[in-house]
Amino acid sequence: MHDQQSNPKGNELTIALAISNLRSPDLSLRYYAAWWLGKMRVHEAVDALLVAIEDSEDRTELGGYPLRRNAARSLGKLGNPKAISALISALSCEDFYVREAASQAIEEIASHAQGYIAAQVAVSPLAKLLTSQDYLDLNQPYEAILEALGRLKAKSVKDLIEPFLNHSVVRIRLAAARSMYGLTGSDRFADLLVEALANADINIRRVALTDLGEIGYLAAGQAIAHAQTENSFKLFALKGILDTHLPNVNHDPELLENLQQVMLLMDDLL
Amino acid sequence: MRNIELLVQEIDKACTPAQLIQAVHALADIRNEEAIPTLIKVLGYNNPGAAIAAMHGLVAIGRSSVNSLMALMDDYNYGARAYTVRALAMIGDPRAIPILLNCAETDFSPSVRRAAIKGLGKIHGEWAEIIDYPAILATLQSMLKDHDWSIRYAAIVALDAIGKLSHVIADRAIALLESSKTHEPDLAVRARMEMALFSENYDQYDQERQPVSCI
Repeated sequence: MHDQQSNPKGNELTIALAISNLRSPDLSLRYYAAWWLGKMRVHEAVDALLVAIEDSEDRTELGGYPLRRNAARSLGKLGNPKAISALISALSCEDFYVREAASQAIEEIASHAQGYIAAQVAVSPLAKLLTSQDYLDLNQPYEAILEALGRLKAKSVKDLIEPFLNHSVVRIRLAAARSMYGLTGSDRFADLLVEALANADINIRRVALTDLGEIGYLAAGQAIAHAQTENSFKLFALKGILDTHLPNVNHDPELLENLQQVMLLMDDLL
Repeated sequence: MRNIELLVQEIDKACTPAQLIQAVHALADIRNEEAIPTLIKVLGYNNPGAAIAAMHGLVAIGRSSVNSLMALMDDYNYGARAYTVRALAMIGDPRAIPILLNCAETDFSPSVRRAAIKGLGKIHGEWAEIIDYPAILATLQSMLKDHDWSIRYAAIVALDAIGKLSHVIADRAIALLESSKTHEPDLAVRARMEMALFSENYDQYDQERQPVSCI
């Protein structure tokens, strides 16, 4: 066997080799290639990944589809709207992690302007996953689904999302809050995330910071800066605020001043 | 047993994170050089509250801490390194410049690099030593091209601070910022550049060079 093909480590992987490895007889090479192509943002790999996301050869003992998971994740990173229909199909996969990866990928694609419109067709299939008899079960990747619907501003399914604000799992409640803010723009949902900055569990505080950055909630600046977490989480959250609002400063001196205060907060976190 | 030994014992005996923080504050408050080794050890503990208290304690002791701090930079513990860098920056001793320069360019941890870069903007010649500004500016110039937005951001913050220290350096700092602005892809980083340039230009007309902290 060719030397390079027997060594899956990144240094020797070229784009052409990685794409061809997606069909390698060695399933672990397929899996690694699928991950690598997304990490390296290899846009020309989209078509090959669209094949990999339907792979039936790479299975786990419990019936999972590892190659499909990595393919979905990478399609999200590549951000190409043409992946939407395959990702929607993947929402029906019996593997929870494939459904989760597909939901996250849809959210990522929708976070770019051209993907946002193309991904609207995913609203209904995503919403279907929320309508299990007992929404308190954990059979669906609710965080990912809720975040995707929030990103898609899926107002039509607001009533399906709202009950998750009371879910027993904190992270799912936070995802619902983030999602509802996306749909309604109402501060009271963002304030739920701000409250979570004081949660006793540092993992929850970090999630809340990430969410506040993603929604770009300007009023949260001070609370973010003083949260009890590593500085890097706080820095990125504040950057999210800048990214959201800077495009609007041109005719708004007060907004500019607020954003300058955010930058001063960031300076102190370096 | 002397007071300081008792205080060090309290740190060793602490059973909860809160007890540790309290004990470190007590040791830091006496501002005694003999506390340096213990405070340095605390920087590496997985307790941010304690590490920050120790860091401020070392800064309060000042220049005598610098040698011990510089020796810590080979530590594998990136948390300790980050606090060490911040302490060196706050003390502002120019002896730390070579370490900060090296750290800014080569450290594995982005948080350590950011602290080092920001620290380069804070080093001052209070003790009338000659500061190698060309070396600092050269490093900052190269940081302005880093792939990581937060590194470029830190470089701007450092240039902003340096530019307020002397007129001669200000011209050079402004030139670096102006030339980088046109090809800076990130909106937030560009905004920080503009904020720095606006405050530098404002100062140019102001005889007393008062620092401008917000527009």
